[in-house]
Amino acid sequence: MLYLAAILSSGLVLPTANLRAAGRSSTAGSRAHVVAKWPWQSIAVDIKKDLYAFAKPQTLGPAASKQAQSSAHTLSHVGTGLR
Amino acid sequence: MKEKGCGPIMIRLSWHDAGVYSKGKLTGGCPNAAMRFTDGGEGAFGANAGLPDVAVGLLEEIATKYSNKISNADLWALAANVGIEVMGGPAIPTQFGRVDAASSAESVESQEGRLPDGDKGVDHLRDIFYPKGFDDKDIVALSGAHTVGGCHADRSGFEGDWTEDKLKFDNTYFTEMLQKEYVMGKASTGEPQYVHEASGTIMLISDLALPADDKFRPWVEKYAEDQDAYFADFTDAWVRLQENGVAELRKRL
Repeated sequence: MLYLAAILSSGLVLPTANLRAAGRSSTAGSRAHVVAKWPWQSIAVDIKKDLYAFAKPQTLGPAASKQAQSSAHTLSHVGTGLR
Repeated sequence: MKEKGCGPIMIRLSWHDAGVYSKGKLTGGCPNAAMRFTDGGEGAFGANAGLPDVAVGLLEEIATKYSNKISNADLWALAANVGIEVMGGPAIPTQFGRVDAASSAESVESQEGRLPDGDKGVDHLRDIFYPKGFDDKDIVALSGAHTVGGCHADRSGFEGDWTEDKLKFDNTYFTEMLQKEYVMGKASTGEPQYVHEASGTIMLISDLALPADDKFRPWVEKYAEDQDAYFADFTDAWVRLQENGVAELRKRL
């Protein structure tokens, strides 16, 4: 369900023409099944999943880790700058 | 993102990438992730301090992992929208198709006239935002993003958080703006800013210019009373901001 919600909230919807070409229905009940079989759909979902989790320490990029270590700021402080 | 509080800086990254667009006296500009390059151009703009190193660094691993699948500019837009949602804000639809700059030479010429200054008033806000296609309602709605995050002395020169929960995306920027009494003070850098002494939260001159203006104030009051209306108007304006200047957008990667 979360997977489907992530897809829908991304605004990712299969064009009807493509669905027809694939021989599948565009009804809501079949959408999750269809999307799961289309690799280009899952890419955006994978990226979004990683974005949800990316700030965990083990996924921090080296530049950010270096910045966090060398800066007087804590990591949470680093992350709160809108300006 | 939620645990580490990176949402606000992702919003700022996407905003400053897309916010250079103008179709007034100044023309051009688009979200193209030119801030990746720090030898000049947008990556060296004072207004972007902290973004090329901290924000881009935070996304580096994901950007590398999906480097042949999504442009940096699209990733930045998506990261901001995930951040807004994770912090309790609206779910923002993301379209794709932003093309990355190949070098700093593809930056706009200057931040002047394209990105706003926090120490200026309503005329400045309109001078900056009208040429991007935004009206008074949009300006107030977009300013509401200050409901999250804070200012850092080593970046903007201002110092402090706008609201008492800087990681919650809601309408408290507007409610606090109307309910609290602020006094003019200075950041440690000497930059002028308003302070609410009891809580320590701040407002910039450009923030408190909103309720003081006859055209802006009704929107401030509306959003303070109606969070759903704020979310709807913010989403509308924010998506247009993120897509300004992009030649071809698509719903899928």
